[in-house]
Amino acid sequence: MSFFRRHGPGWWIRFFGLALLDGIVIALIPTLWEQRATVALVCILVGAAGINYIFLSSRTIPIRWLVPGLFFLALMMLWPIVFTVYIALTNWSTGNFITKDQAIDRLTEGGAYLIETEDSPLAAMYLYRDPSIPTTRLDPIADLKLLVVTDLGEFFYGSPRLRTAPAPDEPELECCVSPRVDEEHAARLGAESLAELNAVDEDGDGIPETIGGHAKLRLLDIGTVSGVLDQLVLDVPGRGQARARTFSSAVLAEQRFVYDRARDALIDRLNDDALCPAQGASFVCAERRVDPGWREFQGFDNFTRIVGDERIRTPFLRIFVWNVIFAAAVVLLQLSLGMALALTLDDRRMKGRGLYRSLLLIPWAAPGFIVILVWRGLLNPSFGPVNNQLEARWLADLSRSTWPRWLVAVALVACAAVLIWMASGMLRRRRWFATFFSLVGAAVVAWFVYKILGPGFAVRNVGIPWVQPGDWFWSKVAVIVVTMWQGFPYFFLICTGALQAIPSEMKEAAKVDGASPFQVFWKVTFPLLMVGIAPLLIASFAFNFNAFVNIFLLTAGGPPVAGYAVPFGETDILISFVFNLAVESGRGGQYALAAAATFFIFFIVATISAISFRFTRRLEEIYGSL
Amino acid sequence: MAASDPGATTAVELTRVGKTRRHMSPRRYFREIGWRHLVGLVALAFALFPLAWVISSSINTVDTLTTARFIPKSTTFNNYAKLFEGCSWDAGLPPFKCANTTPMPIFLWNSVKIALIAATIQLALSALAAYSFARLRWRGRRIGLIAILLIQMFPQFLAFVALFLLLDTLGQTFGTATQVSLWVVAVPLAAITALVALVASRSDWQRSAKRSAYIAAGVGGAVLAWALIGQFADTVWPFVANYQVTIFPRISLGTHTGLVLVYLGGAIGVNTWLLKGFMDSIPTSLDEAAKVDGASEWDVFSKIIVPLARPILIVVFILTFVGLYNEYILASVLIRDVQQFTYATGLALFVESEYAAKWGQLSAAAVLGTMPILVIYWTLQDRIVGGLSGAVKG
Repeated sequence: MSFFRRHGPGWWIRFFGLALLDGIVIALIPTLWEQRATVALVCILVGAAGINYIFLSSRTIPIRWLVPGLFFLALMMLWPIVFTVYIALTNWSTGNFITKDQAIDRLTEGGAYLIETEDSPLAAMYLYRDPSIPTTRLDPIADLKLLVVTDLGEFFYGSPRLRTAPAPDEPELECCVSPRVDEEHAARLGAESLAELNAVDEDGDGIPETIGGHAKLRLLDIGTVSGVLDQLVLDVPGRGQARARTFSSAVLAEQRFVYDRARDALIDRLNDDALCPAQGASFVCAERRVDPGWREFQGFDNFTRIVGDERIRTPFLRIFVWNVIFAAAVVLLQLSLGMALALTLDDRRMKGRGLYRSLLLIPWAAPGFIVILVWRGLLNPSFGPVNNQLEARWLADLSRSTWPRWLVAVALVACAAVLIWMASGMLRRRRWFATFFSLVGAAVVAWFVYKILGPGFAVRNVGIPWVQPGDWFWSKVAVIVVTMWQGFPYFFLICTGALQAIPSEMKEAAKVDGASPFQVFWKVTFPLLMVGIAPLLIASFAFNFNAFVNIFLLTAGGPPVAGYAVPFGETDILISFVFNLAVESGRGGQYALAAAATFFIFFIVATISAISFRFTRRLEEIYGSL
Repeated sequence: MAASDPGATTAVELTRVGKTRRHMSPRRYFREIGWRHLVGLVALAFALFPLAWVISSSINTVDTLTTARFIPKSTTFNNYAKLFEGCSWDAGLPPFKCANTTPMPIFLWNSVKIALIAATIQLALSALAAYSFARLRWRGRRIGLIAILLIQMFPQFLAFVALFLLLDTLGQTFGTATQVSLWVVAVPLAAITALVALVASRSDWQRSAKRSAYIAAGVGGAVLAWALIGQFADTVWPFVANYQVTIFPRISLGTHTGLVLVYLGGAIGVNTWLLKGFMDSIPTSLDEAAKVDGASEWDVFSKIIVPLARPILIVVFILTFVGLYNEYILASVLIRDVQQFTYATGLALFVESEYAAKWGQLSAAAVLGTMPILVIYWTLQDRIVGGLSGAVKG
């Protein structure tokens, strides 16, 4: 009894946890040994030994608390990063994703390359059926078994499949003799394995009448399979494929390739034993690559391709530039909108400030994937409410108006310039400031007006082509506006909090000294706000730099740009480009190239982080003492 | 109405704040306060119109995007009902099954299940690590903290290719679940439970501990009896005899277990920092006193730190849960079978296949997926906002 009392629950958790872990590890050893996964086995054993040491030694108590978390950190964060480096240095892709030995196995033993020639051996074939199912409802595939007996006396018995159906990973062979053996031995072995399946040979002719509950198909019932007979095959690992030819005979399609280890080449039996040498990462027959190839260490090839190959470099640079513009524009817009709102609503005399805050929280708090998909509907060019409203209110009028278009355009731009000039003049009493902003603002407005009224744009018919299908300009506007919509509440909340932290004495002092409200803002409030917000701006930039969902679900990167070695679209950012390269690409998963491109993102994010790290030298104060 | 801030008591402020709306002329009211409401309302309209539109079209009788209008001519809840069409109650987990091609209830179930499990384990791992950083003194602690922050700056999803291949490789070894009959697990487990409880009842444990032990014994004994009856009379309880329990789940591509394990990679990170910061603010005199009374580190952690840190634990849990619920990229790479999709990937699939035609259903699904999250945020609003601005104030 005292034993139970001496040890608290912590001890018991430790004891049972270790026992469970060691049990699992021990259970794994035979499996891994069978799979020849030596590296994995060593890693697991060393890891398990380390964990046992940590939890049993009394000198490692602080580490114990970290081990569970560190384990997953190492397995699911650190190792993937290291592995990404490795992948980037190989040619890993859809056609080259297995090792060379596996590739040779597939080429010389799998069902991918089989040939049926005049010399292919014939075999006797017998059909067996499930007698419990009425003949009229007999499924020629599911309820049927095939027995193939070769001239060598080999027996192959299993479920057939249709030649057109995809091959299963594990061939459905229940009894077989393989690899090739001499005739007598094969016959004995075959009969023995059939006997294991409860085969009953009543008339003693060597062909069983029933095998494991399946009865030999009578000639009468053979009509049920006649429709699919020429499609019926039985995969025989190592020997090729038995293909039904008549009701009672099959032909053995044999492997097309034989591997010649000495010359490191495949021998192509279809073309007079021509030699297919290993070149690069695959065998090449008469200048044609044989799939699958294998993965190989290639050094910095992928990186040099990204930097050197014109048809990859140009897309990469374009995407990079757009990515930076996108993230910067989004962060600036989010900040300005959020801060302006925070300043506006930061008045203690206002009623319902809490309600404003609760409701303004929504865009930021709502699940990102949902709001993006909703926006995609709202911005649909042909049916979307945004276009419907715009068209009903303004665009239709605009397109019907009898004014010359250039006049409308000039008027709009001039109005905008004057408005912006006035507004920025109010914010800051400096003429150069107002002039600069009104010029930039007028240019932006002019661009929009040009896009709406300019040539090549039929307002009347389609409305504004936002997303899917979208025009490059409006798609970019759409992703920026939607991302801004999603993130401005964050800055609103942050600024509201920061504003309340600014002591009101400072503002009062400035006012007493005769500062105008705008001077108070620019000289007191704004600098104090930025002290706290600058690090968050950088973090927000890093976050939006990888705003995958916003791009992928809203525009899918589109509209697509044609004519390059890699698929990409006008609104693609690096991460969505990499994702498409690895997952969605029509050219197959180019994992290695994607991993190499990931590295550029790693690098950029690391640079941003380094900058923010310098910015927040006061890290320890923010997060508490280290 | 009047300023409650005791700091704002300068003469200027007094004259200005002292006036309530009643004393102001409308003109002055607008110049000083009214325009703020105007701007606020415009901002609200901008922030809310997508959600408002979606709510309106989810109850609109017209369920296509083309003909939908903001204020519906007639309303219906058919769109919500349609989401559950083809679904029926079923034994097992999830407790229902759906026959349609985009089974939203299944997606929601999957998402909530994955996010709950992963967030719970993440929180536990994170709290353990935070305790070590906050309370124990060891070499390399400072470097460890900075290393965590640095590693965390690389978003995990960037390594999705490696994670895909990692799970593929793991699948070769862990690709089959280890299953045994229920009684193989239940009988020893129940026996151990009953034994422990028996021992406990004769010892000098505290009363509350004894009470838990009795309850455990009761449950264990019941399971034991149930399993034994099932084993020896499997005509009566075929369920027990035939029911297979997974004692080690399948880990490979396309499994929820694999996805959860991947998510656990993010357990030690920003959250550890947050929890550590909070634990630092709990006075060490508490644990010193407990240790003088003979408490172990585990006792200090479980009986002092965790109860005191409960507010921050809840906030961290909720934020982690919401983050995982929103996760799209890894879920879409690692899970390929539609029945296993999460809400994020499932909704995207729904949109992909039938966009404008089923806008009403999409809206209903969007409202269904958004509301719980919004309710969570609204309930915890002050804490979350406090946390945000706390970071700024530092």
